[in-house]
Formats: sequence, structure tokens, C-alpha cells
Amino acid sequence: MSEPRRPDGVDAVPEYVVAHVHEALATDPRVMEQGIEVVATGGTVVLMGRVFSQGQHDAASEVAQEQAPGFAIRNDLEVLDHPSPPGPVEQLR
Amino acid sequence: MIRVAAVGDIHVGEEPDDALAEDFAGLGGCADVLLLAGDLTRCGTRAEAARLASILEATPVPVVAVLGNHDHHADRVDEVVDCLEAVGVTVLEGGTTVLEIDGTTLGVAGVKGFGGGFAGACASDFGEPEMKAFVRHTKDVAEHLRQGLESLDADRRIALLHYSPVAATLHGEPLEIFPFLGSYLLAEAIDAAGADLVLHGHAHRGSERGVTPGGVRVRNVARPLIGRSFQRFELDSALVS
Repeated sequence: MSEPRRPDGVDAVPEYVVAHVHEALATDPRVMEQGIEVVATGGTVVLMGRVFSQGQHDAASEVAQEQAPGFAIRNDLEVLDHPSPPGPVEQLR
Repeated sequence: MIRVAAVGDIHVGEEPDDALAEDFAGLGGCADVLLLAGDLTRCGTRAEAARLASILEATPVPVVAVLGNHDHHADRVDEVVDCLEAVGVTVLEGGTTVLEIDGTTLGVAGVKGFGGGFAGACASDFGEPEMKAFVRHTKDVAEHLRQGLESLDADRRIALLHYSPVAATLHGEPLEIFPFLGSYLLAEAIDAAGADLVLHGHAHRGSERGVTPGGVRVRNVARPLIGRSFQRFELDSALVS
């Protein structure tokens, strides 16, 4: 689990908040996803991209909030859908 | 005709992934082999590897895999490999395997790969020990890939990687992180040795199709990118790379 941060000083600067949230999402065992796009706009941190499960989706909000305590969290992550196989074939000739 | 199913970045955790298990269990009707392009687990623990192994044990076609950076995170690579090999999975890191399918031989050379970037905007084997170690690891891996491909005596040859050999299949990712997603050294090795197809993952937000400078098809099969449990390819006897 990542260390929660205090909402003052440099920890309130959006650029650093984005960096800390991104790092925590990549390394915290609850999420561990490097491909999440993190944007800080106004007082809100927005999470975008795809994750594998609803559990990961929900945990991403928790992890982000711990790193950005002075910010609202908007979780726009998409949970990966599973269309039925077999799907299309690429024929290589 | 060789029917290949391929996917990377399945990121199996400790919780069940019923959709993946069900899709892999049904592969017998549509594929001759399953190729896994790394990041098979979320962080490379024994528990995750055991869950993955239980899924692959029920997969009705041969499975060939390389590991990815996630599979290295817990520093238990040997245990992950042992778990997979115990259920019959062929795990490659610099090695090769040949399968006979419908009278045709399919050779697979596999390495994880590594980063460094692409020609004109890449890391150099220069400076601090840490930087030299980074670049030399990629050089070593690329050399193992070249040797593996050259050693394959097979009708069709596939290079199986986790990291990308070209920038084309990374488009969609932030340009700034391209050096952490692949290296031109991998493409150079593939072009030197020759191959019919390159499969990789790692770039979840990348693009599906690319080509090496030497003309070998490259396909990014990262699961979040392809949006399904596997991608399918058919290689016929008239294939020209």
C-alpha cells in the first residue's frame, strides 16, 4: 500500500499530484496498472483508461484519493469487456 | 494452415478471471497453439502463478509463453516459471521451440525484450553504470533473440516478445514513454535473422499493427488493446514475409 500524502505544500501542486497518483496506481498491489491516464483539472483528479476488473476500478479511486487528499476524484476508468470468442482472424499470406 | 491464438498482458491476479479461463478452455475449436506475450500475472507472486497455471492446465492446445515486467516484480521468476512448466507450458527466455501442426513446422523464438527506444531517439551504452546496464540488457536480449531465430529449423518462424521492436505499435501511448516500451535493437535482430511474424504486448494503449524496417509484420496483442481474450492469426504455406 502506498503512503498517504498530506494536502499541503508541494503535495497540493497539480503536476506533482498527477505524478504521485500515477506512481501509486502503477505500484500499489490493489491496482498495479501502469497504463492509467491521470489528469488534474481544477480541484479534480480524473482517471482514464482500461482496467481488468471492477475491483481494480474501485481500488483506483481509493489509491488516488490517498495520494490527492485535497482533490475530488473522478473515476472514468473502463472495465475491460469480454466479447465472446473466437473473434476475427487475420490471415497472413 | 497454422492457426495461432495470441494475447499478452492478461495480468492474472489472485482473484478468479472466469472469462479468460472460459475463453482459453474453448481454444481447441479455433486454434492450434496459444502464444502468450508476457505480463501473465499482476505482480509475479506464486499465488498468481498458481491461478494462471490452473487456467492454462485446462487449455486444450499447446501454450508457449514469454514473461513480462509484471512477472518480474515480486522477484520470484523461477517460481513463476516452475508453476507454468509444471502444467506443460513452454516458457521461453532466449530459447526456442518447434511445434508440428498440420504437416507444417512452427518455430517460436521468445524473449521478454526490454526498453531503450528507437533509432534517432534512444538510450546509448554510455555514462553511468546504471545506464550502461540498462542498454546492455537490451543488447543481450536482442542477441539471444537473433540467435534463437537463426537456430530455428522450421517452416514458419514467430518472434514472441513482451516489449515492442517498433514504434508503430506504440502509437497511442505518450511519446515520452516510448523508450520504456521497446527498442529498435529487437527489430534489428529480427530483421537480421528473419521471421514471419512478431507478436508483443506491453503497450496497452498502443496500436495493433506495425512492420519492422526489414518488412516483418508486427502485431501488438496486449489484451486491453485488442479488447478480447486472444487475437487469432492464420499462417498458410504460401506466406511471404
